[in-house]
Amino acid sequence: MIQEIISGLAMGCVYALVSFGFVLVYNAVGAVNFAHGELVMFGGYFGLIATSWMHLPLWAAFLFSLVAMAGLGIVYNRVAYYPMRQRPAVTVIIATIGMGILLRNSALALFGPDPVKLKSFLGDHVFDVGGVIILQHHVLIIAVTIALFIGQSFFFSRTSIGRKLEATAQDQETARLMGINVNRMITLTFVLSALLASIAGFLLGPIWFRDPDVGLIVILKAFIVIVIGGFGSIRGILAGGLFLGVIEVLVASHLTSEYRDVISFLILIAVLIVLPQGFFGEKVAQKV
Amino acid sequence: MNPRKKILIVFLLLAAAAVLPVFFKSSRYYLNLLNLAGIFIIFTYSLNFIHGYLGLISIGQAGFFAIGAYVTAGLTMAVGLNYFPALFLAGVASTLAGMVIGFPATRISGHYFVLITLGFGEIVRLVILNWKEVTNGTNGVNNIPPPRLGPWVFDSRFSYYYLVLFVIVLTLLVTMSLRRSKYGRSMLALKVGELAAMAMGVNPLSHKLINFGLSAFFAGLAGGLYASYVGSISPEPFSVNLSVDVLTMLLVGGSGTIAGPVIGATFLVFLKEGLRFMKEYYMILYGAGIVLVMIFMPYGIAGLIDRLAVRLRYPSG
Repeated sequence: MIQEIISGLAMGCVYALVSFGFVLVYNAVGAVNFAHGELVMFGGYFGLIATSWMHLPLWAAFLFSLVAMAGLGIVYNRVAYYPMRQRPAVTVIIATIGMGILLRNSALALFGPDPVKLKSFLGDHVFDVGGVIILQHHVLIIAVTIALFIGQSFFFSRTSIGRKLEATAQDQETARLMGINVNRMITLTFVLSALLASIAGFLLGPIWFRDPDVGLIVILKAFIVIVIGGFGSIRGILAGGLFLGVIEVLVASHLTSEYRDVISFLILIAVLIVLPQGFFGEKVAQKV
Repeated sequence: MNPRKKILIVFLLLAAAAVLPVFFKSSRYYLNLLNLAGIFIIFTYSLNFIHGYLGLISIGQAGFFAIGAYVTAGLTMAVGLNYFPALFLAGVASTLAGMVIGFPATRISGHYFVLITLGFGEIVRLVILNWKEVTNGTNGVNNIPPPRLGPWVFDSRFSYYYLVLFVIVLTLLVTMSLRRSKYGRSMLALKVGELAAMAMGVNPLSHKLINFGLSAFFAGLAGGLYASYVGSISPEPFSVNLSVDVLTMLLVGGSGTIAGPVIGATFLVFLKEGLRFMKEYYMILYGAGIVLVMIFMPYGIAGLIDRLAVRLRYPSG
């Protein structure tokens, strides 16, 4: 039972990281990035390119993935968001869906349909705590996630660049009047989102088989997490991710493994009906 | 253009569509593409009820399509019903599902609506996948019989074309009469500004629910047509990708227009087929194409044609 809960928490942490990257962009520009799951997938695939094609050690592969994903984030902003920034939100949504198809099938063409696994920094080592077996990788996931969530709150409230990003997200016009280069901040937001995707991809690599369709599954989970947490709330995402991760593991092992995802989606719909602002989120208000 | 002229044009185009397959009678390949395009035209019109009239994005449309397909197959094969009542009942079943999900979904808007429809579509697919006693799981349902109406059997691609065309005309009639009714106008008012429309006495909930039901009905019909045309169905094609495909067709064609769904569905069915020779690269180009269309033609092909027509008529403007 404890074992299950810890693996659920680890899974939930990955969900939270994926959702975090998605929400960064959403909060900054109001764009719903449907290809964020594909970005997570590419984070892992870049690691794979580095380890199995370039024969780099895992830490170098991680650096390579971060750099490559930062570049991808810049390109992504230029192609799928920037040209459409003045248009209705649906235009951007469809463009990101198009980007998702493009990225998914690029992965298919490059790596083939067979699932592959990325190595973990900690291998397959386990902790044995009084008979409870805990995968060290799970502990790593939880530690990294906690560090990142603490780090982000420091970054956005204490550093100059973080505050500029925050200001841009709150009100672009005012931020521009304050002398902030809004377009640069938006590009930076996309880069940060891609970096988070890269980290999530690396953490997910060893525990999930990676095939070109994984991005879709990942983003669907992230949507559930984001709705549970309240659209846009960072605290809510962490809580929502952990909640979903644990619930999934418990449902799969005690109730039904086939209908596990059905139950996750029912939770999504139930939360939307009963508590549309999520557990931590904004009020749903309507603009005239 | 006055309405009478418009109806005349629609009429002429339908006449052209009626003679079109005669030219391809010897080519099973092109007839197949035309039939698939036809089924997707109905499917795209179904989404037009939601996006074109209400401005809401649904990416759960594949769920209704799947319900239509499985109910049609079930009623004709297990119950032994004739195809046409079965198809109608499939539409009704799909509408009921639409009501169940539409009741909560129409109370919320924006990206919340997108997510609730997404959740719905996935639930339908997962239930079909796992409810093996009824749906036969991943193996799917095979040997679905062709439609039969008295002495006629729609078992050739040529005859199926006319069946599909008939349902397209039905869909068109509903779409066009909706546009011209008080109802349709209230809906367009809702799309432009919900609060303002409410102040004018439009009840947004009932309007949205009716449109959602219509959308589900026609998506179900399209699914029922698909099932007996292809002859075998499995859960695999009814994924989010299908919902995304149909949304793309609508937006590429031009949402909220009469011509848009026809243009978008036909164009993309043929484009996908035309790019197929590029093997694994064709879906990459397809994705890139969607992005380019959104950058350069945000109102779809129909919107582009409209703007060109305006420019031709008023060259200086």
